[in-house]
Amino acid sequence: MKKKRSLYRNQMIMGYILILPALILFAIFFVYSLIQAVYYSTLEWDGIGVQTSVGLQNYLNLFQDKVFWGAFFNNWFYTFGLMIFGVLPGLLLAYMLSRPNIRGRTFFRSIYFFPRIISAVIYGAVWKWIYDPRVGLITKIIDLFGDDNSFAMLGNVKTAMFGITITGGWTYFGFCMVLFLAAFMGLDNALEESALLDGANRLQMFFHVTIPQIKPVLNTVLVYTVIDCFKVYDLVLVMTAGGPNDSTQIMTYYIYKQAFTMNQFGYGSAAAVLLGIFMVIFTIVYNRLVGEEV
Amino acid sequence: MGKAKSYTKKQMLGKALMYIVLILGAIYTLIPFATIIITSFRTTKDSVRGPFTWPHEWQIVENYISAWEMGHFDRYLLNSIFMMVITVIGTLFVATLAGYSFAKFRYPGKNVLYYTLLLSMMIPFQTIMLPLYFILRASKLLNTLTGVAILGIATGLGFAIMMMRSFFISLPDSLLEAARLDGCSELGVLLRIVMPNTFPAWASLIVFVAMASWNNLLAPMIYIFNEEKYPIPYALYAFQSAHTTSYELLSAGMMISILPIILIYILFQKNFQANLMAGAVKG
Repeated sequence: MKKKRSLYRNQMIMGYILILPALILFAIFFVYSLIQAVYYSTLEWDGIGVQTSVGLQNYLNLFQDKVFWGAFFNNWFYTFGLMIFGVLPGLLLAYMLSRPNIRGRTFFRSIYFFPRIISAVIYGAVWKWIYDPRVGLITKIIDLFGDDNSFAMLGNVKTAMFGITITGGWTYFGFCMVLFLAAFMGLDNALEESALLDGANRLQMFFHVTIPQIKPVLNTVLVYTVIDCFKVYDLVLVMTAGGPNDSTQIMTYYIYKQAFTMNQFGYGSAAAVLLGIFMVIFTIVYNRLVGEEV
Repeated sequence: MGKAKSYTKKQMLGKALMYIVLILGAIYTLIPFATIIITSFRTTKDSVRGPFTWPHEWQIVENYISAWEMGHFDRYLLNSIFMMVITVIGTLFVATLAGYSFAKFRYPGKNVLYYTLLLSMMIPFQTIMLPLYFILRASKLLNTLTGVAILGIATGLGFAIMMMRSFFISLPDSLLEAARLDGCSELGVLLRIVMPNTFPAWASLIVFVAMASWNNLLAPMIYIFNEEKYPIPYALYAFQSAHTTSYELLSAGMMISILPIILIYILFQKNFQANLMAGAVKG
């Protein structure tokens, strides 16, 4: 009895010791940083000089800042764009690859996943070439049809964000595909077969039998997509740096610009805190919704 | 009989269609990579015609040598490798211990601590990047690769711990109990029984962490000021700004910076994708 008790105490102490390094890092880099970030957001401060407390003024200014809301809107645009150009093709390709009579599964899977391991500095630059109005691939294709007007995807306020979104989808669909493929491969074929015997066509079967079965994975991917899309930074920096005329401004780049280009540390922090709050609320609300459904 | 035959024909058509879509998808994925590879082998004179023309003149090593020398890629590669190694080792160390603790030990407050640590996954880096600047400055780690590496360990920790914990949960308790009954100390159990079984989990964690560290652009942009300390993505970004239309040099530089991470991906990819898939199914 006594031995068992001391064994438990030993385990307890050992358990705490093992998580200590993680806790220390977390305390310094997250807890302390978050408190500091909230504190900075109440200041007027250029990062070097005098700190003047302005209360909630930064937040009030943010609510009237058109560029900030434009950035927020662009992040949503990018998110929905990636659902269409990333999640959807990922889902369809995964479904095709999961068919039992398809060969070369590993081959296709590895190729599709490839863009995900490369830095945005690389694929962003190549896609910039693709969109180039003078030597770009799109211009070349348009030329084939006899139209000599060069088309500047990234130079146009109306199409620049769309161009970034296409590139984002290109890096993302393979990643989604890998996740969906796992789900499809784990499915029991019996349900589909009985649906076919009941006279359902392929499309009906896909939407009413197959998709509902992979709903947990679909939910995970959708939440992950929103979180990932609100963290996007490198791609926008490399392709447009927020331009032309702030038409591709996104939250993360806006925060960076406020702090390190305009030296408005307080104002940038307020935007950063709002982004953090939004992400946490979004994740919690979504988990609630999904949790209730299951 | 006739009906069965037409059914197979329809199936064949469906299958052919699927292969066409799959191959088109692969081509779509590979076009940018093919562009980089081909362009990196063109002569300077030839590449003026643009990256989407078929080359008239080829050269194999010249651009790579120029990029290596003009772009100082030897130095930047070493910087990135240094940063990556510290980040990977640090993450493996911290996440393995914490994951093991959360999976196999009983103590008060365990779940609360675990979910608190996971919160760090939700906080975007941009939210805390300004305070981190002053933390690094105060600890004399500003403008050092070690500083950026430590930030990499901290910001990737939530995910790494989650992965290691779910791996250790799948490790049978009986294995540990048997060793404990044999009089093995807790440290002995960890070092002699647990660690040797951890390599598959490490393999995929290494790919995740190495990729994040290798491709990290934002943190070096903020916290590194001296050009000789730039890691690869930042150096490449600076190189791009300086040589906007030297497609052949840029491509060679890109190729040099892709190769190491591709090597890691190929070495560990089987485990990596399997783990990614398993994680998704578990939710």
